[in-house]
Amino acid sequence: MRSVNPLRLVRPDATAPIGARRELPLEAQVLVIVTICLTVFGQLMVYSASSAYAMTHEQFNYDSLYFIKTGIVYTVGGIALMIGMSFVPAGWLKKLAPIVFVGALLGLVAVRLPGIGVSANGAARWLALGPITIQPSEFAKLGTLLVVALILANRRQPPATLKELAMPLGILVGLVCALIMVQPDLGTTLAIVIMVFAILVAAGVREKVLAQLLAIGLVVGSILIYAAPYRRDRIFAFVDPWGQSADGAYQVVQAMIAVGSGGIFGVGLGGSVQKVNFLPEAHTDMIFAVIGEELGLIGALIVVGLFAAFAWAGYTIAMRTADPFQRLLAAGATALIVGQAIVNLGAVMGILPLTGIPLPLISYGSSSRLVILALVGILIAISREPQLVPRPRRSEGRDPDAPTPTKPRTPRRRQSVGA
Amino acid sequence: MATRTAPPRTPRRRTRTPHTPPPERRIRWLIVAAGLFLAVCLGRAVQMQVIDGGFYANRASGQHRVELATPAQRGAILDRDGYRLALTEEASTIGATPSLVTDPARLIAAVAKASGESPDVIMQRLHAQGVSHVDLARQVPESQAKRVEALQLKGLDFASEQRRVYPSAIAAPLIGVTDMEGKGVAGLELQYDAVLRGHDGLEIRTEDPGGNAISVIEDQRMRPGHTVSTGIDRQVQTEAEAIAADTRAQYRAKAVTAIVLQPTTGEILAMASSPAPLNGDYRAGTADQLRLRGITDQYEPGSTFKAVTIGAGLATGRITPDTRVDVGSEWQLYDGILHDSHSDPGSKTATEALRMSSNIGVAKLAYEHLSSPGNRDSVLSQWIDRFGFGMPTGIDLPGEVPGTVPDYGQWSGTSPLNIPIGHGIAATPIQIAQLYATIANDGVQVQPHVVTRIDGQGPVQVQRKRIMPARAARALAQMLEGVVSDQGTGSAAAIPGYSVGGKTGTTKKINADGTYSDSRYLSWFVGFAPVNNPKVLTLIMVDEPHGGQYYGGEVAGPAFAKLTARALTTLGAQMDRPDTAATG
Repeated sequence: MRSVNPLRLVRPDATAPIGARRELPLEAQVLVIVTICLTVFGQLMVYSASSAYAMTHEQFNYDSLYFIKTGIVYTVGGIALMIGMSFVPAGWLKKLAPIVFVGALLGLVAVRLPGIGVSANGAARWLALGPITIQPSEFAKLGTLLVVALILANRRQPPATLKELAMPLGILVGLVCALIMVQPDLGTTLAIVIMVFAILVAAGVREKVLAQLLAIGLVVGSILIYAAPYRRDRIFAFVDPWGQSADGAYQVVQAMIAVGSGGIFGVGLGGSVQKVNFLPEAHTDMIFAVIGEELGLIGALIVVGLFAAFAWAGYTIAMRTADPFQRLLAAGATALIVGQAIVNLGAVMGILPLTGIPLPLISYGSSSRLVILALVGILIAISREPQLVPRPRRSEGRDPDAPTPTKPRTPRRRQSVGA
Repeated sequence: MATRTAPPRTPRRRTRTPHTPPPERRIRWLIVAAGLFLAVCLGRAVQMQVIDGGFYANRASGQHRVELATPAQRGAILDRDGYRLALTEEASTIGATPSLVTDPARLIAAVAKASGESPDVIMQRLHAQGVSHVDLARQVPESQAKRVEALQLKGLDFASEQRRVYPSAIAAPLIGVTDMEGKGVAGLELQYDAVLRGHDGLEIRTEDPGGNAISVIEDQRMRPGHTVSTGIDRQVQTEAEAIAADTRAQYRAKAVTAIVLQPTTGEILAMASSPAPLNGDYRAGTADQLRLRGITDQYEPGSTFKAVTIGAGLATGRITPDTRVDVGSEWQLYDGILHDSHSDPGSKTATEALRMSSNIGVAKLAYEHLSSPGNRDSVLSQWIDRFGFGMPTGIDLPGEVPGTVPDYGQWSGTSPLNIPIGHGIAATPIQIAQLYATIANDGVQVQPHVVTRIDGQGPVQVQRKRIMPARAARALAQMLEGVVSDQGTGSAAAIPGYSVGGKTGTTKKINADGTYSDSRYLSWFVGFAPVNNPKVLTLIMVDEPHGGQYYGGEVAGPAFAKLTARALTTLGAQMDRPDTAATG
């Protein structure tokens, strides 16, 4: 039986509604712990990275606690959302998918409207609704994830050609990406592209088609980069950060100096000098630079290790799920979060171009945090649904074909072989 | 969609079906991909933080760390009344960025006026090739720099620095000078540099790009240098310089050296040389003008050295003032013949021999009473060492030489004709001054010194050493008083109102071929007053006087009298012979 679970976050209760009936499997427990660790660690680092910045700028009332105060509001809201989402049945999500998607599209259009749309740093990304600002592109990630997973799950076979892929999937994703690119926001676009690609991989799209998609992505990406001078600068900055004077190069150089100067043990929590007006976006996109400087290689190990655990947990949930929609949803959600983390870490350490992606669950950000915690909630919900393969006991762990009494469905592999 | 492809491609369907991979395998791909990318990130972190950590740490401290130096205020040098002979004041370096200069002509004129340099020099500096910034003028006095700054000329900038000034414009070679960076390079400035300099303050801190301090890593407080008090008397020093210059002019001499000190304390009241730098400005002086001849140059002391010979005899009891000696017209020893310049053959007492500065008399006294044939060392040789010849006096000035004294083992057969009367050996003027100060101070030798007190460290301790019995020293002083009497060679050194003891010296300089010159002389006079309560000791040495006169008594004696009288007056010394005052 499953008595090996070290933690019983939800106790078995025969009278509970269907969503809460099951005890959380190990991967979901890992997911919850990792999420809480990343969130708490993130709040700490946001405070460390932002206090000097907030204290020296008038728009934050010179309040060193400004970002932790607002951050905690969204974190608490996000945790509540996560818990709530963990009880939402998959069927509801299928119904919600088009609504979220269309709503996000409208939001992406609305950022252009005067009166609601808010621009900052030359980008129109935000909607102002009373006291709160919303970043529709974050919700577009969620909407795209739901819609793509739904469309692919409804097919008997995955799309076999590019043409099949394009209608209607390509059109919808392309539309979202186009709306986000005009903001402009290369980072979010990249995150969505990575997420969609991962869903296609999980859906079983043939290797040849995946390769074609990669090629198309590289060509389109190159064109997009060369179309905008500031992006071109960033690419050159990435290739030779020390030799460039462009803005992007300055950010990369400052981030690399921060990470590298941390050494093995770092300069100590709160001791970063780079965060004091040297490093732009220290509490958002560049927060890993502050972690690297203050906590050194130990901090890098913590972050990378937590995201590795997250990836394992998220993908394991996807793997074990019987329902194709939930499987693709789980894979896409995990790919979105882990993919953003990888692109962010790579950019901060100068091995990927700077695209402007926050570090999930750690960087300061309201919409991003809400959406990501909602995704974690969805993953937890999925982990409690009927499973494709029962959790193997240690004695039979390596044999997926071993007969087990609780097997709810025949594994697909056997089904296809038999056909 | 599957239905559309199904009927015509039935055979291919079987081949395609295995291509639809089981979801588990595809999701494992994603796990592997995530693991690989995260591993690359971690590898990069290891590379940056462990392998290249030093590089980035250097970069970081390069842009964070700021070192702020606060130069220590250099201590002042005071005369014996507390007047500042050397002090540090604020000054400016006027710099320029040539590319920003819009009105070069006006700028050059203004800077040249402020720095006191020629406009051509300033123009050359402004037009220096291949530099983006130049220092046009350094050490510009603050008031002058402010005047230039007020003109608001484009391209100029001002950096504050310290400037060493010598307001009294006296004793330049003695006080010395500092370089542009405020480090002592000569004289007392060099000798006491460690004391005067102090410790610069240094603050190391981290700053943000706007120059705001983030944290202080190190903060060494600035400690100003100590002020140093000397025994120099401004009036006596000024007089000494004037008399040296006048004497040199009068006798068209190569050089004149004057030393005035207090025999009881060893304090130097004045030390002057001519030629001297123009307007007493060290920075304007040539090497010759900046020599501290009193300590860096050695000469044959001649007859002034006879005090060593007589002093040794008196101290050992081998000679008394009344010991008689037969002075002939000449005295031959081996191939050496000794003559007297004021020849007066006959039997003389030691007092008479010294008074008339008889070479034969003094040499014979030494030969008969102070030599101990067969011994490794003679009495005289021992006493030459005991009086301190052949080693530095230890005066607190840089560059003192020890003089040259031959070992007794190197004495030749004719050495008894030379050495007792100060030939064949070399001494610095300060050594001769120290010898007579010892005699004046009842036989106790006090190390001559310039600095008397260091602020924060108290009075300077000087070495005192009894050289000869007080009674012998007093007897010798009495004999030396006779030198300045009407019957002595030093009558011209008499000072109205005071008893004076002293000794003349006249030495032929040595030619390049080793023979004694007949035209180039050294004229000495060294003495002290009042004889029984000595307040002042003065030494005058004239190097190569011209115009027929060369005897120490005639050439150096009057200068001695004038300078000593001035020093006695300045120090408020009581007259001990008021009866002679009126006649003077």
